[in-house]
Amino acid sequence: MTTDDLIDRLTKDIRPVKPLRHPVRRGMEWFAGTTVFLAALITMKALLSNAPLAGLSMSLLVPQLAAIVASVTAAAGAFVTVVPGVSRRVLVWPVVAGAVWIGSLLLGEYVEGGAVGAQIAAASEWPCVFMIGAGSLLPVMGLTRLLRQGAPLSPRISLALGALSAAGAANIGACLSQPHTNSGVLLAWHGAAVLVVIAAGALAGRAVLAWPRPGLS
Amino acid sequence: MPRDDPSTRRPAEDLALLMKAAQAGDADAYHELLQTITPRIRRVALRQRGFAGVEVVEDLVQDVLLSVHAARATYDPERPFMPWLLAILRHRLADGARKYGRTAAHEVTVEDLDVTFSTPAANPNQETTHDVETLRSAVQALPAAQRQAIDLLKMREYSLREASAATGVSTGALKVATHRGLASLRRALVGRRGGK
Repeated sequence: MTTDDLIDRLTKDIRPVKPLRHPVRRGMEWFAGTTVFLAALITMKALLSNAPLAGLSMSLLVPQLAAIVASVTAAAGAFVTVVPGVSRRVLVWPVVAGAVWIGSLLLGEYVEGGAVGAQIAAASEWPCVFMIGAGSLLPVMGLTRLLRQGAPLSPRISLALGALSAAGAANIGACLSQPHTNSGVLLAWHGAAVLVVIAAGALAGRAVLAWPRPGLS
Repeated sequence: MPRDDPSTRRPAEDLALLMKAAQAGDADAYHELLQTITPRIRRVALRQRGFAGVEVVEDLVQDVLLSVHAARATYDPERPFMPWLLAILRHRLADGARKYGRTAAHEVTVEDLDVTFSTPAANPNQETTHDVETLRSAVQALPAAQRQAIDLLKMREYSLREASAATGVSTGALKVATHRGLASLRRALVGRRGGK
């Protein structure tokens, strides 16, 4: 097919489209939905296990706030990456927040002292790991559907940011559902779970976010 | 390849208006927009990927147009059009370069295609007839033992045992005679072709 023929067919194929809302706004809307979903999840867990919510531990306040910031900014970043021509400066924020999160947990572990390895090995954080994995799944699926409305310019980065946002929020949910006091345990178990979710998102990016081939008439 | 038309250079604001109209479903505006941006896309693609060949560049141009079509909804009418288009162009060129690198690395250029095809150009009759006559005369010129061995084992496809039984010559002697006969034929035929 010549390029002129292609132009004729694309023109014949045209339908009105509504411009997407600003990517940061779309990111915040998605994040709000994710928060509602996770709140419902941990409330259900608390009711089923008949255990009260733990609340955010004051000793872990800084890392958990950093996790919230990373999660929110990653959501905005994911939606920015699928809009051509928009500045990607916003992507700095999830990286900085993630660094603060990890750094504050490392600092906390240093301050707390004790046998780090033994504490990590002794802890059983599998319910939290499950919460992070399962709690991320539905939000990431919803995110993928929304990202597909955009342009898959950097599919791996887009989905990795979305996975970071969902896993970060699920991590907060896990912290609320059972008490945590040890930074090393949190970094090792929750950190590893979040990293796995991010890696899965990055690996799946190219497969789930691809340029659609329009069905030309 | 279609030539660029200088008259298609339009101000960026016009392109933004055309795109806005296209988002509303205006087919004429969309056609004009695509016709206008295509030479610009082609210029950039040629500058960056001209080494890949005209067909590859035109494929890239079409990929960019398809991506523009697919991503229409992502354009914000309040923002300039060219940065939006150039972002798509940049990423599609990078994708094209990755794809070119993958396929070119595994492709082998076949230069001598005539040898492999059964087309008339690859098999002229004149050459076939000439070779049969040359071969016949070369065989006739061989010493008797070599000629007999070539005739039985190569022309009539006797087995060694059958040829030995027919001639009374041992299989070892037949093998030697065949080997010498083939060497003589090779020398004779190469010598004749070289003398043409």
